[in-house]
Amino acid sequence: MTAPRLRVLVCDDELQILRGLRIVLREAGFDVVAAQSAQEALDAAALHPPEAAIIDLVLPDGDGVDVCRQLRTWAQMPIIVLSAVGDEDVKIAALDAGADDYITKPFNPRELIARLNAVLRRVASNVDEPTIRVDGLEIDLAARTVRRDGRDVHLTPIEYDLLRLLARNRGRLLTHRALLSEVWGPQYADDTQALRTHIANLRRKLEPGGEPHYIRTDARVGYRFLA
Amino acid sequence: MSVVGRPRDSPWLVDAPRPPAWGVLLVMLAAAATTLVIYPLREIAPEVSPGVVYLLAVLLVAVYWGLAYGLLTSLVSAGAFNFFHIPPTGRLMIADSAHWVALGVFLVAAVVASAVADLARTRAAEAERRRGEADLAADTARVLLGGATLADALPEAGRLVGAALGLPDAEIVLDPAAESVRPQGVVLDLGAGREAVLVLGAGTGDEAVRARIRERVAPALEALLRAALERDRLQAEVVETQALRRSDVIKTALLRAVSHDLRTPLTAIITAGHAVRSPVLEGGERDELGLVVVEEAQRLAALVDKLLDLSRLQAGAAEPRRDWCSLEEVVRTAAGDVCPDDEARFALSFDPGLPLVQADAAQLERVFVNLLENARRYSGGHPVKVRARVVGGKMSIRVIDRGPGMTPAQLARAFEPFYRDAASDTHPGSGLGLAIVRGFVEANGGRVRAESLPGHGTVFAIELPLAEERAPATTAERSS
Repeated sequence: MTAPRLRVLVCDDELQILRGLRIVLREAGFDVVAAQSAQEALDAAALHPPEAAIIDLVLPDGDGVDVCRQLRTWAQMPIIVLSAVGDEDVKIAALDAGADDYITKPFNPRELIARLNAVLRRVASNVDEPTIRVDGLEIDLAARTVRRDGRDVHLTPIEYDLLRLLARNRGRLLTHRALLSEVWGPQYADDTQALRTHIANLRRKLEPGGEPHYIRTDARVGYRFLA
Repeated sequence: MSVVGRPRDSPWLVDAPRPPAWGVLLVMLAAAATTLVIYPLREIAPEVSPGVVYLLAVLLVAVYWGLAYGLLTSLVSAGAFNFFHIPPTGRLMIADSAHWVALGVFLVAAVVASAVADLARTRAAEAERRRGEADLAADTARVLLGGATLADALPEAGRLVGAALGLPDAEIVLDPAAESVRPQGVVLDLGAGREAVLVLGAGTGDEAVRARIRERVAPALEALLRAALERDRLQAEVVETQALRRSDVIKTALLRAVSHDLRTPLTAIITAGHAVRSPVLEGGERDELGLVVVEEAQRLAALVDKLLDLSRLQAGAAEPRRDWCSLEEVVRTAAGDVCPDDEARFALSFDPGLPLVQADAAQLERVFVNLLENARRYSGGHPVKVRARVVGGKMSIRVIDRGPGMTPAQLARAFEPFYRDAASDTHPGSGLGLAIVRGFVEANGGRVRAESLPGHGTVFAIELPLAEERAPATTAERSS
């Protein structure tokens, strides 16, 4: 296979991390554009628009959240943030600002590459397909019907909206706030109780063995649909 | 003139003892003097009328010595008047009945005057006492409530009360341990099971004095001591709350520091470890990755050292093991640790004949490792100067960098653990170094402060005490 190598922007102020990442990513088939500050990252992204970006949350001239927000104003490429701060709030802010996923330092580079490929698949599959088919689950977006292993699954309107939002963002970690304001409306953005209840119902109807398969939980942050 | 004109700081609580013999003598003298004064007056006035002059003596005696002596003066004056001035003189007889009337009127007037004068005297004395009590209460309040803590203020308060009572040995003992002090003093109940004893000192077994103190001084003193205790309690609570809040802040900062500062080198090491196995390594990359692993592991080790230093300091386990040590040796070792390859980054200068200091060499080395590391990080490639000399009987070491400097706000917080200036810090520091510097310098009896001119650099100045007995001077006369 001689597919064109995808360009990935990597922004981290630690040169030592960049050195290793460059080699690991190159081996996985990516071209790496490295940046060591927020400004460098934004300049590099504008100059050679990358297919994906990996952004450290702690940068010398600002934080990664701002970089995500600014990239999102003009680009739809998937963004993974690197968080070293044990601070959930910053992660969630980055996700709300448009990041697709996060990974906590120290991470296994293989895990990073798996996440990267997952968010890239989401972009590849996101071309307004009328039907989303994943692992025996079939969501017909035109007819608003859901079938699993050929059998109809009956969902309430809210459950259907939730599932559609998650499925259309396959692999992307959606925060509680993002799900709530999208499905229920911005004024309900903090009602995580309702969200948990509906996710539980949705899982009961979808998941075959009760094991979360299609909808994965990221405790305290949000949910993602199977990549 | 005040009727009882005694200086303010004299004892006002207890009357000075007045021997009756002196009183009787005074009465006699007053009567005699008046009698003499009347002789010339008799030449110009009717024989009986100068008797009025005796009233003056009665008044004066009654005012200064009280009613009893006033009455005695009245009687003696009546007798003397009769004997010396009412005809027939030289005998206690009265010929003219009009003179009887005059003498009677005189006696009645003298008695009434004595009583009135004594009343004034008592009132003035009482007013003076109250003024003294009020002054004492105000002074004691100032001392007890104005000071830092009750314990600090007690000796001064005891001295004040003692001076007011004329008891130079008086002192206030809080929660007396020995029962023996109680009988010597006045017990003050402070509530909540606490008490204090106003110990009166030697020679005051007088129960009347103690009763007077119990009645007039103790209530105010009790109230003040209670207020001071309450103030102490509230202060302690505030301090405790602040300490808790501070330790919370430190814990949060520690978590963040450990989270960020340990994870970053770990990430670099793990990534390099994976990368080095890649089959597509280009020339030189393997070496580079090996270097990453070594450097980042050293960074981790340095951080672990710092965390250990800091936890030792915070646990109070950094008791210095003092010994004679040469500052030059310590600084050179530290410089070698910080920059093994390139000592030219530091311009070290030591005055010739620098004395040894009594300090923990290992702790001082940590001080200079941290200071030099810090200075090198910010000096932007300029050499960092270190200058050691004796100034004002103390060892003074200045570490001077030509970095960007610090603003007053940054300076004020520079020595706090985990303080890093978030906005401008592009340098990977743990934020622990300066906290360790201050901890170890102070543990060794020294002081450290920072001065900075934004844009021109920063000076860290350390002062270490020199031992009383002069240490042998180091022979080194080099300076580099």
